[in-house]
Amino acid sequence: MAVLDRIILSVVIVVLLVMGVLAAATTFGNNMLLDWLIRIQTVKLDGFLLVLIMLLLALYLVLMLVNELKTDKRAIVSQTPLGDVRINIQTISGLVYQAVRAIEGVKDAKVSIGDVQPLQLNLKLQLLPDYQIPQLAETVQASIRDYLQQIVGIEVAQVNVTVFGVLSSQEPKTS
Amino acid sequence: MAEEERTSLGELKIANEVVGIIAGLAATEVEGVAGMSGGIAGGIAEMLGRKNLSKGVKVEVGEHEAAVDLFIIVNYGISIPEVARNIQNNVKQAIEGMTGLDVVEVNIHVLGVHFPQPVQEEQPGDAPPARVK
Repeated sequence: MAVLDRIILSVVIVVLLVMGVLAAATTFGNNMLLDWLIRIQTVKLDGFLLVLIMLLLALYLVLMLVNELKTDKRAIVSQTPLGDVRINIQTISGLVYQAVRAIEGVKDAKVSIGDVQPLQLNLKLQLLPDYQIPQLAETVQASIRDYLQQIVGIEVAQVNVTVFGVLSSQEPKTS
Repeated sequence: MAEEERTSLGELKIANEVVGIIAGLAATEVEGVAGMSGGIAGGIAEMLGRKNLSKGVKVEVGEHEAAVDLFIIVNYGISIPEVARNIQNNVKQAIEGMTGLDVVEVNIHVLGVHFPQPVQEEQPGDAPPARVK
């Protein structure tokens, strides 16, 4: 869980606790909450600030939830005599990303996964100039296949490569 | 749930939590394991200051058998099947050795890879030369 998530969650918990305590106090005849509510009728800034904070917290929680639901839950399962080994999609794409980035001539990569069994990878690559693209694509495909075979122990059925850009040379031409 | 066993002098109970901790410790000591992943509930518990030794571990304990699910993060560059096999063996051995339960299943869920921090270009001891002497 990300650090920010934890901070936000603890803030939410504190806010809810305080409100709970205040509500409880009100039930037992304490007027603190009521007084304060009356006060924000006159001092509008307090009220707006509170509303803003609560809206932001709610928004963040919703985003967290959406993110959680959107996360690809698929995994590659292999059976062993002692139980299943499940490797989830994020692990695979993270590994592939690092491996592709390490190949000479590749500037940047986006990895997405089509089918899981058999595994089908889609790579979008941004290349450095002065490389023969078909050859480089073939190198990428072969090294990913070998890499996954070695590290994850799975066969890759398909590695689709899309080249979406060639980075222009950074150095100014001196001709 | 706890495992109960009758010995000649009384009964022996082993709590699920104990089996979980044994499994968690046995798994994290395997080379190539970066850590356990506890999920959201685990994250909240940890945030509240509870150090959770059985984080990322789910156990089912029956009368004589146990099944374990482990949620792990592996280090970059190691062979995952190999690490998984080592974890399974280590966890099985640890639980069977310490509790006498028969471990029928150790399921490994690899939830992520831990990448080492990008290596600094400059070597240690290779500090930039002082500009003034």
